[in-house]
Amino acid sequence: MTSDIGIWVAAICTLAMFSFLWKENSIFRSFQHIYVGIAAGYGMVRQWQAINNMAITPLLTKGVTTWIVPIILGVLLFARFFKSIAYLSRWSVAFLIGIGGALSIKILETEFIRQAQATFVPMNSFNNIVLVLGTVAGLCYFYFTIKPSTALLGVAKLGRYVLMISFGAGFGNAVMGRVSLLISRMQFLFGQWIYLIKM
Amino acid sequence: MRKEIPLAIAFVTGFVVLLEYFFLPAVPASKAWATMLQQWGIVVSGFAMFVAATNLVLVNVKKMDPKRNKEWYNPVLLLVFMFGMAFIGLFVGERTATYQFLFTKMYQPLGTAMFALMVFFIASAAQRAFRAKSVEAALLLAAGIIVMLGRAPVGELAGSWLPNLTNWIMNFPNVAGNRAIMMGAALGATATAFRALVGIDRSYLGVD
Repeated sequence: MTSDIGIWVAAICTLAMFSFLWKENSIFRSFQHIYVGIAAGYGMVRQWQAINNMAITPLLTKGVTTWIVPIILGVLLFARFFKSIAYLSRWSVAFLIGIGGALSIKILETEFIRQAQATFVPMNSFNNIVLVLGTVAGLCYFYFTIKPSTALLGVAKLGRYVLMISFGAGFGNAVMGRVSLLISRMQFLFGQWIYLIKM
Repeated sequence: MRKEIPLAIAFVTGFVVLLEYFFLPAVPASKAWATMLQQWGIVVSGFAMFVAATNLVLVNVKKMDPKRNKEWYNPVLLLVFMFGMAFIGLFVGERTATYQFLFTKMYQPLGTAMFALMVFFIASAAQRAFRAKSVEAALLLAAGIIVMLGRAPVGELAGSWLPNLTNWIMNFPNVAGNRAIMMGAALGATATAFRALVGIDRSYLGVD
């Protein structure tokens, strides 16, 4: 068993989280709160660095005064904590909605046009036929604009099958991703903490 | 004016970014404006993290009353670690041993263990939900089992056909399904964003 205090702390944190498998208990809840606290603190450090590097340093050292605008908009977000001026925080939210909305429209190129381009493959192999028909059938399933005909309903049914295979594959991948995290924790506990397995 | 000004801000900022992208990519000034607005967006969203932290403090301070909350020490722990991590990171330095200790010996193990826990809940949910009562359910079940076995070392023991079948499912039917979802979602996101930019959808403004 190790005498490294850091590994002991990490092992206790891991076991406290796994204690939830027995039942929800106060130790789990305490460590859950610690996790949220550290994550929030870490987020604050990262975001402050972004604000400092992008806006405050250029404003103070190079005199780039345009950075005052996003700093004021950022500070206005705090107006929501004061009832009389809470409406001012909408300006900042609206600014973010404007940027976010425009970027959402811009992704139409990668998420729609490029995907459509990639689907236009020659139907000269079984795999390509699966790819093209699967995509078209899947899209037919999401087509709600008109009252569907019998033919469209048939294609949409095929689309539902393709989507189910996708969901199944996604589920399998999600499970295996979590299993690899579990294995890494077990290797840590039995390898680095109590030396039961060789690392 | 309490609603008109935010609507105008959303429209103008969105319009400038879109103008550069769709109509004026060759005009340097429009590109500079759009880039500047996007950088401003990163700064403003950085402040949003501090709004969230303030909210977290306000919510947890209320929970610290031992008379009302039996586990009053949990919000105390949360705030101590939050301010501790932030103070060390901002004023002492990220390369210090204490900050690194909090990150590698607490934050990372807690996060990994929490996500690893989910495998048990996914498995238990799957055991209850996965019943091959229809063609769709059978396809979902079969694809899930094949991918899980094909991605595990035990799958290779059954022969190379299982990893090959897994790869085929991932590369063709899975890509087709995901592509259909992605294209549908992109159209939906565009419509929603357009409604917000032109002021048809005003839900982000809240209520007076």
